[in-house]
Amino acid sequence: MIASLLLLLSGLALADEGPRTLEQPPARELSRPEVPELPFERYQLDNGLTVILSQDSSVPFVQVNLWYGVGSKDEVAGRTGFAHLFEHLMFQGSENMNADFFTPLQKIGAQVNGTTNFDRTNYFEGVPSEYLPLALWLEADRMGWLLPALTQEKLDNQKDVVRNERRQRYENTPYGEVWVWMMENVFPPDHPYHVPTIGRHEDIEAAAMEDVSAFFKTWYVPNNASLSIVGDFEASQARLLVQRYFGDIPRGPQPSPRSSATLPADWLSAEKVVEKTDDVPHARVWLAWISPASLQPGDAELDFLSDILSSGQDSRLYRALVKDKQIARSVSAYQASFLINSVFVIEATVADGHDTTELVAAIDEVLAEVRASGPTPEEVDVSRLNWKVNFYGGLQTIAAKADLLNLYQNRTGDPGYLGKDLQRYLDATPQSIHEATKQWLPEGRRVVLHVRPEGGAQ
Amino acid sequence: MISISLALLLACGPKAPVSPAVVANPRATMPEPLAPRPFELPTPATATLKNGIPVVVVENHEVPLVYVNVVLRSGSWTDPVGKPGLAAATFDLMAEGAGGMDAAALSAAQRRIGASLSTGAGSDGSYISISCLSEKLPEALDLLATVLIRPDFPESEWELLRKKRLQDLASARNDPRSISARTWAVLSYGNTYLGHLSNEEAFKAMSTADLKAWHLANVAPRHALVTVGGATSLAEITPLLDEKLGGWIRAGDELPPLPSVESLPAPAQTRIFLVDKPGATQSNLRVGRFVGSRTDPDYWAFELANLAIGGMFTSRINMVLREEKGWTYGSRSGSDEGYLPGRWAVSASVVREATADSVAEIRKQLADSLGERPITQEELDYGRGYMLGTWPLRFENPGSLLGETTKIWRYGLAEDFLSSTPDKLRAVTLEQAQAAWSKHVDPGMMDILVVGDAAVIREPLQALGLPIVELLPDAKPLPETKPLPETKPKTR
Repeated sequence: MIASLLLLLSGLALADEGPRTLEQPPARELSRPEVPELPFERYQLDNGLTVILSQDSSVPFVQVNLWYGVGSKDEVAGRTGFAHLFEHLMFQGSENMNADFFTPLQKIGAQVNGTTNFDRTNYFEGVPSEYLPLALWLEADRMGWLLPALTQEKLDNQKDVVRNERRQRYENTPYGEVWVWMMENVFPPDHPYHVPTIGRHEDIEAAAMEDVSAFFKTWYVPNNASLSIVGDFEASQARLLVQRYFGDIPRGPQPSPRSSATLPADWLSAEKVVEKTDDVPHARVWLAWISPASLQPGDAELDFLSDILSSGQDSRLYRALVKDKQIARSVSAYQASFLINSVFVIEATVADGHDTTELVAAIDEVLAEVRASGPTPEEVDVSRLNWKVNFYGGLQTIAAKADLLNLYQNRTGDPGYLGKDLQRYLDATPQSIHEATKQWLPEGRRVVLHVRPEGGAQ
Repeated sequence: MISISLALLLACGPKAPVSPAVVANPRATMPEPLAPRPFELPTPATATLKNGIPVVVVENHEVPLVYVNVVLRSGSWTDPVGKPGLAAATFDLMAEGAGGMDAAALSAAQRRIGASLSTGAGSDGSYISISCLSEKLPEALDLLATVLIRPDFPESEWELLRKKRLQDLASARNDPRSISARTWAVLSYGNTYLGHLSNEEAFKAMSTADLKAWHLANVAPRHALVTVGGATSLAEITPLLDEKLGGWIRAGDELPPLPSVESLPAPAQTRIFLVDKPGATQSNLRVGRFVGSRTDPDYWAFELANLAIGGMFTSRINMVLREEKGWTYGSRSGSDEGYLPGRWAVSASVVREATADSVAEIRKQLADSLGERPITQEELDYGRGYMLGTWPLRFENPGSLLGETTKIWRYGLAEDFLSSTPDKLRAVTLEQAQAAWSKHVDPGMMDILVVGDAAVIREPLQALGLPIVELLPDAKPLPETKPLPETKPKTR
């Protein structure tokens, strides 16, 4: 499915062939297999656990990667940060291994961690292949039997750890709180993305054992999880092991993770300007628009737009703000893709002696040009090529492959969505990027967040 | 060159075949490992270019990408006195104009072929790298060679870059982590190149003439190694490299003697250095001292001892500070050896209110490890298992293996450094680990650096009974408190 895009794309990156019309898209024929494949087999246990197996014998390691269909978007009122706090509790031991989750794993050289975001929670361990049974046993034990080992003491300890994580990564880091300020302004209070995943101190502090138990029973059921195993292993062995350890975890009531949110009709109908003063070295500004959700129409186009705007010194924003006007030291644009809504962001840091208001004006000039005439075919071809190189560059570890299979499973129900994912980037044209820019990045409907140093310097 | 069966590395514990037999309660006991999978470490292929540059290639055809690195011996250790940051500035500016192309043109040339070029100089070395699609290798090597050999050092780009670097310095002075790292470097290595930090005055005084001169004196084929990883082969790339780099000749290519300091002075007493970061909700801690170098006979014994006490998640210090007390998101200890002996330190960001308690707890853990609670055989084996288990990951992709190869080249390590390490790890006894630990770690002679909200943490720190030296960032002394000068009323 994803065969030979490479050949084709590098061809496209050559000279501009002149204007193309929507009626006559360039031929995009897939002929020779030139890109890595991500073969897999998928099946389901009787309890609803989705299992994805993919063999790759590049190193004698195996990655066990488990996604639960729950993220901070699914938290209840007054319990922001809970999904992430819960993730920490999953490392505090379970019925048959009542010790720190790292304990049996680090001594065999395993690479272990878990992460939580708005949309999902993942857990993963890379282990030497012969320890696949251990990794599966540990994951199954905490999926099925976490609660018997949980105590108030563990909960209290991890609340402190998580609050320290918040201090370290958000409060004691320059610009660390920007994501918090941005989300609370971009999304209305009842939107699941209004508060970032780390949550609020007081909500973390308020978490109780009843919350833990209810959350576990609601979300941590096999029928809300997918397990991918990638690396050097025998498929038949893996099937037996998965059945042995996960097979008797009971199916739970089918949970319904949030998959949509309604924005008020007049939400962000006008530009919203937010001004903050903080302990930061330089003034910086963020422009943010609500944009199409991950994998939805327009998402790939906005990826390309961000690249055209800010990748490389020949990009439009870099050239205008950093090189020509010399009012910014740096500028970047990105489409932050999530399940319900995405956010398109442009951020820029002032050059000494300038203010963020000048930056916004200069960014707007560039955006006005793109809204008026769209990107050039050459810009799009170059973006396509570089996007592709990056995409494949990110697929070189079994850890990345294991996570990607689960991402596709979680988002689309199809772990083999890679080809369709790539196709979106093949199909994007200067016209479709132009349309997406006009539709999603109109004048006005956005948040402008200025963050300036204390004391009014710079 | 490097070929060890992984089975040898990992063979341990009984092997139980997976059988479909029904087990009463499969959950009750920890499963036994399976038989290890056979694995041959990739063997790099080597060649020499016409001008003598050694080439190392590790093939990997999983994706059609190639990574080419030219690594050089010169780094900030060859910065002239009074010009710290010159090596880094030179390598930064090389990528901003070469062969008549300005920065935008160079950037566009990379993007047109999907290549990505980067340059940089660190303390002990420098590099220029490019990644590209394998089919664009000739064009990419052209760019690489142009930037390496024919940089233009354009004045306009230098002005822009210098302004950026000055702003970066201001950012570094604002970020508690950078403040800690820079101050620690000066405290530890103040009189050597590792303590000579880039700074505003040096940047302002630097000219493109300095950069050109440094490039001419320090960037030469005699001090270069080329490492290549990815979808190519020695047979394919050697002629290409010879074409682009093989004709590169440079006279007057003597480098200064490599830095070496037999040993750096241990602190005579334990002191706390306090740098104020008003309002910080956490304090950034480092507790440490000099240890040995990579070639010391007790190097691996010390590394394993470090894993027991502070080097990993499950080590004593992290388990207490994080999992028992909840004072931090995490703590680690370790050392970073280069040309100079390594500085070992425990580091952590801890909640402001537990700053002094955390310092006391770290000191207690260190004292205990040398006294009433020495390292146990179980702890030693645990860290050993971690090292042996993660060892193959150094070979998962060409990049990490080439990185190890570069380290061997740079520091003149034994040819069999990689292949012999697992055996060296296996051979370490508990007595050796404890001896290495006692030799290098003396809680009575430690430097302690605290970057945090002095108004809140000063008093509790004073209560620890250790001398406290208050400093500005970069270990600069506080201005002496002088009587206020007489002020005259301002006249307008």
